[in-house]
Parts: sequence; C-alpha cells; structure tokens
Amino acid sequence: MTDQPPADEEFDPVVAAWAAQGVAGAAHAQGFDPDVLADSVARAHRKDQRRLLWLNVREFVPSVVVAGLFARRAPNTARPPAMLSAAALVFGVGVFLVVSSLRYQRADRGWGTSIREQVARRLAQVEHRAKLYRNVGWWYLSPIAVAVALVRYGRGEAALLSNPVFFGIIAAMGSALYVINRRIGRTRYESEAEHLRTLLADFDAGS
Amino acid sequence: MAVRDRHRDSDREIFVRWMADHRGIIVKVVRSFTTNLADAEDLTQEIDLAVWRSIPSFRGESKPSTWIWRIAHNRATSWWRGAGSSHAVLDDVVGPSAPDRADDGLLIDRIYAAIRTLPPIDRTLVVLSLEGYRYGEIAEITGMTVTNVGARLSRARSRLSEVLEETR
Repeated sequence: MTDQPPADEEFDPVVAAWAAQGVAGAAHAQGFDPDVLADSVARAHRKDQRRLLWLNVREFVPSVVVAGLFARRAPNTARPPAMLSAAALVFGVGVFLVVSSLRYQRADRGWGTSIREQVARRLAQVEHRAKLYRNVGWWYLSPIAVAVALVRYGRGEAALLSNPVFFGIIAAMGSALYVINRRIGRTRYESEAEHLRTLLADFDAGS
Repeated sequence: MAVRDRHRDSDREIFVRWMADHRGIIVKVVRSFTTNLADAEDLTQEIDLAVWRSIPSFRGESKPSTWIWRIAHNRATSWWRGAGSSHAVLDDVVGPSAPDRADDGLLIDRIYAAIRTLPPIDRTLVVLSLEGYRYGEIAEITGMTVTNVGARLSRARSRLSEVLEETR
C-alpha cells in the first residue's frame, strides 16, 4: 500500500477546493484577534479551575467538619469507639469523593497521545463516574446510614429502627438521593459512555 | 484561595502565535462536525480551551499544526452534547435535503456538508487526508493501523464522492 491515497481524477476538484478555501484568512477578515481570544480563554480556564476547586471543597469540607465534630464529642459519649468509627466513615466518604473527582479531572491530560487513546481514556473516566452514580448506595448512602446508626449507638440512644419517625426521615432522604444519583448517572454518564464505546469500536473495526 | 495556573507568559505567547498561524485548523474541524452556529460556537470554545490547556504538555516533538489537528479532532470526535442531541440526530439533519446544503453551488460548502454525513472517525480521516497528511501520519494521530487508515479512507472518499454527486 502506498502512503498516500491513490490518484483519483474525480476527487481532484475536491482537493483543489479544499486547498483554496483560505479559512485562516477569512477568520482574520472577520476581525479575529488572537490576543483577545487568549485573554478570553485564559479567563475561561481560570473560571473552570475555580469551579473544580469549589467542587472539591464542597465535597470535602462538610465531611471533615462532621467527622471532626463526631471525633471531638467521642470522649464524652457512652461508647467513644462507636463515635470514632462514625467519624472515620464520614471522613472516608469525603476522601473517596475528592479522590474520584480528581481522577475524573485527570481525563483531560495526555494531550500528546493518539485520538483513539484519548477516547479510551475518556471512556474509562466516564465509566468510572457512571459506576459511582450507579453504586451510590454502597459507597455513599450505606456508610452515612451506618455512621448515623453508630452515632445514636455511641450516644446511648435508641436503635435507629426503634424510632419510626427518625428512621422514616433518614430512609426518605436516602431514597431521594439514591434516585437522583442513579438518574444523573444514567442520563449524563452512561449515555456518554455508550457513545464513546461505539466510537472506540469504530476505531478498531477492520484493524 | 488563589487558583494555581501553570500557564506562564510564554505559554500565552505560544497560544497567540498558534492561533494567528493555525486558526484555520479549528475552523475547518468545527465546520466538519457541526451544522449550526450554537454547536459551532460550543465546539470552538471547547477546542480553544483544550489547546490552551495542552500547551504546558507540548514538547515540540510534533509540529504545532499537527498538535492542534490532534487536539481539535479529539475534541470534535468525542464531542458529546448529552442525551437528546447526539451526533446521530445531528447527522440525520445533514443530508441532501438539509437546510445548510449549498444551493449557491459553492463546492466547498457541499464538501463540508458531505463530510458531515460521514461517521465521526471518517470525517477526521478525510479532513486530514485533504490537508495532505500521509497514511502513516494519520495513523499516528488517530491511533489506527496504517492498513486500516488506507481501507477506511478509501471507503470514506467513495462515500464522499457519492454524496457530492447526489447533491450536485
């Protein structure tokens, strides 16, 4: 096989029209200013960085505060180990959230690699994100529910199940969070993952 | 808290120079992948931002134009607008009866419309081929084998010729 498409007279006008389009010139004629664009892109980049920082803070700080509160009160409760376990669980959820968020943000790196590799990398990140939303009950809701139960136990309060009103409120909040997260995972990430899987299969077709 | 920005002044200069010299690459890729102004603006912004972010990783191992082609095509190929406005829907709009079909007889408009009827990867192959990239270079940019590039490009060019013939 040659390293260039074979000569094709029918295709020559296409090649000629493509070469003659002068897009760069047209962009300049329309008042395109690279300096203005650089300023605008730099602003957008900084805004995005701040948004990501805020997302991480928003995910991590509440868990640190709550975990700290539990840990601080532990010595004064009936069962300190239970309170400390609750603190560790809440802190663990916060760490997990931040780590998975940072991992997701890394998807954009690896600019020098091939398009196929970047699609594969993006797919891995999106699949991970979809999995997180799909399994929100295991890694987020369950540890939080266990932490709530441990706090009640640590403070010598009645078991969660023996207080129907409190249990009902916790169960309703948990169910709502579960449904919302599953929906986000399905609509935002699983559909994108499907799109990327199709692309990847298309890249590999015939090779 | 201050946000750490790894971009130095020299990176800004590089970006300005790249955009001055190679803006056409982004325009061509966006035109090959979008059919309306809103999508074109969205994708352009996304590519601009990707090029900006990529500058600290640029080691000069490839030409800046190749680097920008790679990033622009990566963004365009995997561009995802969310459920309800997928590429498939976008592609359905672009056909012989699409509103943006070039009735003014400009061949270049018909070429772009025809390119948009192809699957995303074939669009990338055709555009890079029209830019004069060789099979080996296209294979390196896309991550496909040279044989696969040749075979797919041949089919894509045939399909492009057919569509151009239909819309003549």
